Amino acid sequence: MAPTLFHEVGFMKTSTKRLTALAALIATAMILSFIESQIPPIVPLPGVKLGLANIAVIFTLYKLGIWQSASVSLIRVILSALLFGNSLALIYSFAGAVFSLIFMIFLKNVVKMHTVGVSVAGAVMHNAAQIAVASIVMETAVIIYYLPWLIISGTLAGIVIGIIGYQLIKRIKL
Amino acid sequence: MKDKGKKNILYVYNKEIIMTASLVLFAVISLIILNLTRTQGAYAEVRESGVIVATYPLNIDREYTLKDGKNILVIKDGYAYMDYAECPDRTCVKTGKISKTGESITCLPNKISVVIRGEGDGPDLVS
Repeated sequence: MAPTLFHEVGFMKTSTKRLTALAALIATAMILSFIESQIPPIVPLPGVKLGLANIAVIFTLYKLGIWQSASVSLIRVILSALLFGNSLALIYSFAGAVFSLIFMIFLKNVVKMHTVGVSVAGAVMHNAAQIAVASIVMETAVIIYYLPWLIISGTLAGIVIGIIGYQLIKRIKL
Repeated sequence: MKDKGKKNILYVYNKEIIMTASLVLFAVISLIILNLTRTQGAYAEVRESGVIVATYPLNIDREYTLKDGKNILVIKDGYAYMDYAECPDRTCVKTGKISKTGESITCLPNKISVVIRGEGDGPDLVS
């Protein structure tokens, strides 16, 4: 196996190979979220989405590690918002991504859950955080009425994403 | 000949199943409760960035322009719906008609929320 170069990148030591893998994963996450934005929404509720980009995040979480998946998720959110979205959407996405990450990391490492469970939690927390931020921005608690529907849609999307993620983790060598 | 150790699939994945099941149960129960406490609304409360700017009675059929023409709210036959919205996703228009207390239409990009209230509801009551 070819020797790998180790760089100190801030707080994490990483090899060149791992760095390029992370870059490719961030790009994948951005492409996935772009594809998702092109699909016309089937349900007229704010925040109902497939969360396809989570496939990349979960893959990174199980294959590479905590900090790596955090950087994939957060950098993807920032870059996607800069390229495709507006600054208002950035706040929602960022909050969703942060909360979803916290729960996913906790469930994977402490509770030791399978990808499907982690993904369900990630999707639901993402939606819940978006609702919370939306209630704060709109300064009204009414949006909480959407929460049950977002839990259901998050669970369904999470299951699908988790299954896809599990197959990828099993088959792709990194 | 390997015996896989008769582990029931429900046992191996019990954490995931418990979590998912409780989430779904919570969602279903809250939907049932929320729908049972709904009654026909009396008026529509319009908020811009959280501040109440108008309350329109549901029994008077009229069209209201919100936020300098960016959104148009129509009240007809006891229903309220967003007829037009100048925003990137138009989720608010696709929400359709609402009429029961607690139901709402929100235009997140324009920070507009329209909530149906019943008679005698306080301004900050959620239902």
